[in-house]
Amino acid sequence: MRIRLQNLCKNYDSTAPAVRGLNLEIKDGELVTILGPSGCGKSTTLLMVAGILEITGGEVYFDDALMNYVAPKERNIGMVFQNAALYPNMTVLDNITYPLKNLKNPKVPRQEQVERATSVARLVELEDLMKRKPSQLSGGQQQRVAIARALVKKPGLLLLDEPLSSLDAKLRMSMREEIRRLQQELHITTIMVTHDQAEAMSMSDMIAVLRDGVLQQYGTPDALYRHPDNWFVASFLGMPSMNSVDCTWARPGASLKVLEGGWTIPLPGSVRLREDRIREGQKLILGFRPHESVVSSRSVAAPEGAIGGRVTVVEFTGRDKLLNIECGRQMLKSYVAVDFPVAEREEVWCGVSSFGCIFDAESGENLVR
Amino acid sequence: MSSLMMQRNEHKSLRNRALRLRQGVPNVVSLVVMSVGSVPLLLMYVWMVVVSFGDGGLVPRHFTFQNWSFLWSGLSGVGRANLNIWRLLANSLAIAVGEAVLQVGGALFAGYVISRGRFPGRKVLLQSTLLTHAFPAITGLIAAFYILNAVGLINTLAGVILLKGFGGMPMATWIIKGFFDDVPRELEWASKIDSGSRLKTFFHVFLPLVWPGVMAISLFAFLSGWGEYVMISVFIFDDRVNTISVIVRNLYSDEAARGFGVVMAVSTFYMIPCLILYFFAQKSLLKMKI
Repeated sequence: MRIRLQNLCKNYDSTAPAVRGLNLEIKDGELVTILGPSGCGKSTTLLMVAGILEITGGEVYFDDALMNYVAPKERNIGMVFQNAALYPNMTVLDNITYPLKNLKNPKVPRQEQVERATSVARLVELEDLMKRKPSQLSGGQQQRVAIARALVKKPGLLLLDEPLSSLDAKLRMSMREEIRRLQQELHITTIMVTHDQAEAMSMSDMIAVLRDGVLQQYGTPDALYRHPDNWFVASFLGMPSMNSVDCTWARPGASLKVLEGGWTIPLPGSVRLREDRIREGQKLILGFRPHESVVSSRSVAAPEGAIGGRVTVVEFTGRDKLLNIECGRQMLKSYVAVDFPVAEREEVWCGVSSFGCIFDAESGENLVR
Repeated sequence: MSSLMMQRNEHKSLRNRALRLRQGVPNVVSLVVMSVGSVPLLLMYVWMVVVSFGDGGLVPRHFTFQNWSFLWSGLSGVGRANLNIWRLLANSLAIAVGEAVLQVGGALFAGYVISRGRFPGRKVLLQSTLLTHAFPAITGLIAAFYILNAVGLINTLAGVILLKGFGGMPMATWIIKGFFDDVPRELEWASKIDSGSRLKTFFHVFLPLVWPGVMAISLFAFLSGWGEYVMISVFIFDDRVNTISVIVRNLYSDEAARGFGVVMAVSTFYMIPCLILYFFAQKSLLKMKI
């Protein structure tokens, strides 16, 4: 099923709108994640797509049919909630067959209900637990029952509202894979809501980043990670998050001057900027990922474009070392090889090796094309 | 030095025993205070049962079943008629069960709507339900008499059932609303998406979850009907539609003639259904919070 959200808006009673003018297009069989901090309107959006919340303005289309006034049960959707929301008085089997029990035309005979429930349960490896009550299951099992219940109707659209956030870290990783595998196997269009950027990046075909009800960027995980449209997207994605250095133009469009310390960073000729947005004296944020930097010892001469700083903490991550470098009041994080000789409180040079993110400090927009 | 250490580490050392006793002192105090309050109450009931098997005095001397003969030969000498106790029991049950069914039926749906619905006037409705409890019920008695008389329900059980049922409904609605409030929204949403209609959602999702509340308000309604005295004595004049509560009162004023034995026997008989109910509903009552 293709989904189209057009200028979708939601106002709760007279307070600031929760969702403002959201436009999204979702292709058949895609897994799209709506990502954002809490209170950004992502769950509201999902509940409007489900038909549980009334739509204040705009349209929701499934394929080409307008869905605004269609009841949730007629939208042919399955939904999984953060806390599983299983019916506590029913067994696992009854929970999974509940959506089938209610189907009217055609009615599903009991025999077929059980068969379908069993086959869905097999997909999520639950077939041995069908007689249990939800309270006798672990969190991960409960969430799998919820997924089975959402899938048993063979819905055209699967909605996942923070399905993994109530699980512990290890289980979350394995459920990520499991949901992605199921989604691919069944080729079911899926919208997932999450505040966990790692979850979004590892599972999604497309990510929509939302902030205060406004869509910030919609694209593939790769595009969002490498070419964020603005500072918010850049800082929200990636762990540890993107480094920022306050700068201004030394020569507009050609080199940057770090505000604190006065280091000059020349831009490589390959960096293509949006010339029309460049102004003299513009405040800038130079962004780079912790792995997009080159650290060298202060005992050698400064490499071109490097910033001087002092190592405060060395974190051992296993594959490499993460340095926290203090450059005046700014803290930078930088990955170096495990065998890189560095000690805490040592002075180093930190050079930037990738220039994909130069933001206007006021508007936050990315000046790199 | 070392012997002192040894003594400290032994559970049964004198010092440790004294410490343990001292920790228990506050418990003993609270036990004593609670006993002073509750033991006399309990003893009164025990006494009642004892007197019912005695020879009529408040301090029984012989054991006898004579007082319980009303179970098979009826109650004689109360007012004018010889009353069949089973008929009285049926009347009491009719009022209690009738009130419970009416009240729970109404409160269940009202509580659901007030808890889950969003409609104009919801807040006012919520507040006004409590307001009905601000006035003593007795003040409405005369008005109720006229109304019952006008609609021809005076001197009938149905009249009392209606009054009692609707009278207790606001409080029952409040209690059950609290249970509905505790049902997570997601469950309701899930059922909405799983193509459950409103009624199906109510019966399959909500009702099992608020069941302890239903048990609680049913019990309250039943007991309130079972113990009703004032309305029955005011609205019902016919001895044949009397209830046990009224008869116990009448027996009591006749006590001079026949001793306390029969009064206590009937009272004990009157209490048994309540005890049975409490026994079964205890678990649900414990889950209630107001």
